[in-house]
Order: sequence, then structure tokens, then C-alpha cells
Amino acid sequence: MVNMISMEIKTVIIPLPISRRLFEWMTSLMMLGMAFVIAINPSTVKVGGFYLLSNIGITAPVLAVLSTLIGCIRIAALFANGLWPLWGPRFRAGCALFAAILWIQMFLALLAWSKESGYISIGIAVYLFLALGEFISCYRAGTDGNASCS
Amino acid sequence: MATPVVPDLGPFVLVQAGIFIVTVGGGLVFWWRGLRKKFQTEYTRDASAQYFFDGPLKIALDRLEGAYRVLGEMRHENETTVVEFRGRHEAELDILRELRESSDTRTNTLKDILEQIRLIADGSHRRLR
Repeated sequence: MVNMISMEIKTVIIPLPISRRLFEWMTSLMMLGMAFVIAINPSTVKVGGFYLLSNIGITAPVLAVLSTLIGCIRIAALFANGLWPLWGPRFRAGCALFAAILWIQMFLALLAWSKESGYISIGIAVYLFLALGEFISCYRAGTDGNASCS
Repeated sequence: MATPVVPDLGPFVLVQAGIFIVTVGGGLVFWWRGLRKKFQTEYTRDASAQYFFDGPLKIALDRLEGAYRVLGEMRHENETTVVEFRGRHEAELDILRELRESSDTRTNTLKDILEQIRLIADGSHRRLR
């Protein structure tokens, strides 16, 4: 009985198609939020622990634009996932790959920053496991593409 | 807030580039593994297939078969008994109905006799004649 009630509550609060790919939805929204924060305050990338990202060309404007683009594409692909059986999972896999690259680079930047600043940033653990989640999302998108094409 | 001094980035850039390549490769491998994942197909059984059991499994199956047979016999016996009892019950109901009808007849006869006696006692019997 309690399980049924909790299941109903879960279904009401989070619709089933969203709850199955909740991680991807949340990271997409996170990217859009990140882009918004960078847009109103670019120095968060220039000055903070992420300034080393500029070594590989990820400056504040580039990060904001790419995050917006990838977040929007990912949300569109997630929204039309079942109606877009061939390209939806491919876009999702591509966006997850890009996100994994971004999180790993942020993890590296924070790691280097921790060495300089003398304290270890909490973000190291956050970005590392976000990247791991993105790899799993890549796998999941692959299985979805496999299931829809077979 | 002061901009931190950028250290010598030579090796770190190489680390970043190397990790970038590893990440891309890893992501592609995960995606490829997902694409190649084999989904379990539905199990289909050949209609002509026959199965033979031996050993403890056969003993267990035999016992289950015996128990099933006994249960079937009990069920059949119950059904027969129910039919028999139903027939008896209907016969009893018929007997009761007949008794009630005969009782009603006797009651009516007695009522007629009493009416006659009452009429004789009143003398109306004579007047009626």
C-alpha cells in the first residue's frame, strides 16, 4: 500500500518519461543555468578556479554559448526522444559526451587550482561523478538508439 | 578580486589535451557498447519438443501427480455427493408439500363438520330444510 502511494506520488510529481532520464534532464537544466550565471557574471570563469579552462579555449563566452546550445539541443532531444528514434539518441549521446568533456576539464581545472590554493575544492568530487554519470548517459543513449533501430 | 597568477602551463595543457582525448574515446566506447548491447529476445519453445525427467525431480513430479489425482478424485466425489444430497432434499420437500396439502384438506373437512354441528345446534338446520 505504501509502495503504491509513493509510486503514485512519484508519477504525479515526476512523469515517467522524465524520471527515466532524470539525470540528463537535470544536467541540461544545469547547463542552461550555468550559461545564465556566466552571462550575468563572466568573471566566475575568468577569476575563479576555472580560469585554467582557457588553456584549451574554453573562455567564459565560449562556455556560456556552448552550454546554452548543448542544453537546448539536449532538452529538445529528450523531449522528442520517442518521436525521433534515429537522431534523438544520437544527439543525446553527443551532448552527454560534450558534457563529460566539460565536467572532466572542470574537474582538472579545480584539481590544479586546489594545488595552487592550498585547499581541496569540493567541486572535484562533484564534477568527477557528474562526468561518470555522463558516460552512463552515453551508454543509455546507445541502448535507446539500439532498441529504437532494431 | 585579484586575478591569480597563471603558472607554467606547459605540462598541464598536455594533461588537459590528453584527458580530452581519453574522455572522447571513453564516451564513444560507452556509446558503442550501448549500441551493441544485445537485448534478450523472447523465449520460444518448439511445439514438438519433449522433456524427460529423472532422479529426484521425477520422484517429486510423480508425487505431485499423485497428489493432483487424489485431489481430482476428492473433487469428483464431492460433486457426486452434492448431486445426491440435492435429490434427497428435493424428495423431502415433496413429502413436506404433500403433508401440508393433506393437512389442509383435513382441516377443511373438520371446519365443515363443525359448521354443520353449529347449524344443528342453532336449529337453523331445521329451518333451512
